[in-house]
Amino acid sequence: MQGMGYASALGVLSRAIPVPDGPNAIPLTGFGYLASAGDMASPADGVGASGIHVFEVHGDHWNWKQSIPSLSPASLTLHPNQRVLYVANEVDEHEKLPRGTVEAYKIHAHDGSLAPLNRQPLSLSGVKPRHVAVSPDGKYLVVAIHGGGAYNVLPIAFDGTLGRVSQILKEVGAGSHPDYQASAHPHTLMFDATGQHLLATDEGCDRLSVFAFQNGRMMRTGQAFSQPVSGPGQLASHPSGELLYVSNTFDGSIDCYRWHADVGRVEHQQRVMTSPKTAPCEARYLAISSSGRFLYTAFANEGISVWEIDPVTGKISVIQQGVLTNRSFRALILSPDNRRLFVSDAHQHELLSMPVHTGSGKLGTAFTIAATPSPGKVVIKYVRLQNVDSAKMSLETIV
Amino acid sequence: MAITVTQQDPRYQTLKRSRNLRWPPSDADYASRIELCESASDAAEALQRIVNAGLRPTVRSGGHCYEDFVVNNPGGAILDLSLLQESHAAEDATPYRISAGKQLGEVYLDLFKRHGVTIPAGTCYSVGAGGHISGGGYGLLSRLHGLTVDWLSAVDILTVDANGKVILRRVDKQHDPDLFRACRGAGGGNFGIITSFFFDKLPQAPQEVVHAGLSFDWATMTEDRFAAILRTYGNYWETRGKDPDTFGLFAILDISHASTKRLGLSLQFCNPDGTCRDLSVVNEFLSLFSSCNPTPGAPAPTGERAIAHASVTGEACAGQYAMSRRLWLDATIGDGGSEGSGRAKYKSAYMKSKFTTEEAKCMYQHMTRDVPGVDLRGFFLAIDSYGGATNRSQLAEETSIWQRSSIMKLQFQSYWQNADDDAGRLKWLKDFYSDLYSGSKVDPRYASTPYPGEHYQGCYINYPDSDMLAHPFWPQLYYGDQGLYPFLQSVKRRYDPNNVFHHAMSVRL
Repeated sequence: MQGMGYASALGVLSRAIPVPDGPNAIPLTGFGYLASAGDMASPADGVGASGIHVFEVHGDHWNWKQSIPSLSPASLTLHPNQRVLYVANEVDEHEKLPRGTVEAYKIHAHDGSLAPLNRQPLSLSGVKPRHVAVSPDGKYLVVAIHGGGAYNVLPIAFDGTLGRVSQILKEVGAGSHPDYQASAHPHTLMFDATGQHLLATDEGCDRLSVFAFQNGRMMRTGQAFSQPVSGPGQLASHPSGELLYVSNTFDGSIDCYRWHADVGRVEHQQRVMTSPKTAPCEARYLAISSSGRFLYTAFANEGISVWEIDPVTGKISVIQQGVLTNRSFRALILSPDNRRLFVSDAHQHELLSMPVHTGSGKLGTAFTIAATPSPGKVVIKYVRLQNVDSAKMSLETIV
Repeated sequence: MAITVTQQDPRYQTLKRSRNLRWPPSDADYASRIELCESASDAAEALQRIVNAGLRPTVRSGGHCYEDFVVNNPGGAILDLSLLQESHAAEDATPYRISAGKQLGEVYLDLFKRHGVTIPAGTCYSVGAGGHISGGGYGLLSRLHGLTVDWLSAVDILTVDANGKVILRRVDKQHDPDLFRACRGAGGGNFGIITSFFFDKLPQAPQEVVHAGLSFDWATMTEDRFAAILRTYGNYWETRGKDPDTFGLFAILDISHASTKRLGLSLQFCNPDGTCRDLSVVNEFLSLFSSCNPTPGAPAPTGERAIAHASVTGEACAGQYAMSRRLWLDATIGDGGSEGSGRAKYKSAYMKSKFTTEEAKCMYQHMTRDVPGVDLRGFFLAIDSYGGATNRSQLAEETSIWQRSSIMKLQFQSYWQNADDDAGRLKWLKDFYSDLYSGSKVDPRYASTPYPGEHYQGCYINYPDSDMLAHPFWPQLYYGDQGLYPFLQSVKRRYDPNNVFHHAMSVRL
């Protein structure tokens, strides 16, 4: 499929794996959103190169429905009402000033298609935002700005549109690596279940930060430092809300912390070294089963590993590793029923589905379910449809 | 402790503003507080508090920044140095010390009365030393004595290290020499907060000076006469103006629109020894213009003071009687020596050689063409003489002012009062400037700018023009293309790795 125009590749695929009609038809189970930052070396790809792609999901069938152009979309997040999608544009200029942007898209309930709502510039010097999260009450969007070393808070209006930046929090800090840690580089952030705290990783200063979040304002209240030159990157929360897992960019390790929401404190539990990495690039992607029993990690060409999470201590131990090497993973997400793991592979430009064994959590054989555009960052968000009875359709999010 | 002025404080509404009432662009862009610092330790303490709180600091001394670099700081904090008093430490051997918050008028008085010396700095007396000197600092004595940064020996500057700690540094050629060089002309708001400037030596102030001027009527102007004025002026600085006996002569030719009724030329002169014993140079200069039919004996008004019909400055109030509204502080002392608050736009260019016929023609066209709905009085192109002592080429390596071959320095200035007139004024000036710098002397890759080359040496960072951001080569316009900008970026990475100090045209990491 390499060398073909993106849109035509998908066209071929949807013809190749048709969705059966009739009484045996697999019902619509949700909508999938895939952001592709595209191959910056060949912008002539047009829409397909950098944008957000909408899929209709019927079980294991991801049918491409729509592509919307968007500049370097590095992060997607859904509003709690499932009706709006927010995007971070990992760019370093907007209208001639050095800053990134964030965008809002309306999701049409009946077909999951996207329509642009608005775009807001971030604060001056806030270049290359990396991650966005919405507060549990749906009123604020918070942005982790990796390049510019800052956080921005933006208010969300009743219709989901973004207001202009209402708070700018500039980070300072450094680590020992001369190239990657000369200054602060916020990577990923998340709200705790109460919405009263924000947790954020900073790859530039080896830090997991805790912020109090109240009335749309964030304020640093604590932090934990990881090992020097580890580079905290991806962050995942255990469904219990009491444990956090951080995968580190530079040394490939995984840290486990206990989160004490009542006092807003993190407590380090465990550090696991995974296979040594040759060069720092992206931190391992993380996904945790809704049972809280299993952690899935994927990185570049090292394959996928499955870890068992100790129900008492939260500590992880590997139970399966090296699944699908010789790929280049860019994102992973579990299906809502946790029976499938969807993984994006930039090497072969495709989205894969792997069955998850319910009892053991282990992974079976992968198969291709969709073609994806040229390599770049890929993020998957999945909106599930519950109640096949169309009269009572409701949507649920898996974050 | 610094004096903190927050939004509830009655002083906030005045102190949050710039003298240029265009800034900030919207109400939501105002800083959340102003920290008035009375000492360097006040400033250090305030800066540390600001950094710890995750706020963005911007710095102000005189408040004359041409762009929104200081006051467009949404939710951030402005450190105001205008109350800074220098303390004369006993162990401090440096003879001359200028606090960053001091205004030029005070500096001239102080240095003259105490020591009989001066700095070759600007003519606007309420301009603050902090921004003026860190961006170069030039004025009527620059042909004789160079730029203010040419004399600078050391600087006290507060920087923020990689871990967010505020450090006070005394930088000079032996201590943090790269940062010292950057402080000598790269412009304010880039690397830290300068609290003091030190000079081992300063030039003696002249004993006396002669002021003279000529004006040229627009009523009898022709394109030929206009071109002759420009030709005479430019030719002088390219030839006779390079002789040291003329270095005490500094002139400003004010080109204005035909609606202002006349063009003006003003000058200051003294002999290099600071006396006015021999006026032959001035007479020789003035006589060159006799064929251009000047109005004799009428010293032309310079720059912004020549706003023809601005009988009432300030914001016009609606109502039965003509009234204008101004901030009290501004109404009381705002005008001292220079323009009070209004709305303004500026551009600049350095010229290495005299005006071409093409340029003269272009200027004449724009000065004689009326634009419906746009009042073109209140526009001045001040063509300053330059060169002389500013062109000591070794100073390009020691300082961050690389333009050391120019003979004229142009400052395009437009002044007006009403926000409704913004669009028309800005467009006119942008079009004029683009047109002037799209001639045959400009490489088409850099069209509409005075890009460094045979005829131009780019723009002056202390006359910043955000329109230039439209060009990816804007850093080269201000800092040349011979390595100065990459050097400044290395200084930035070293001394402000977190980019705590930034504005729309700051040095990018």
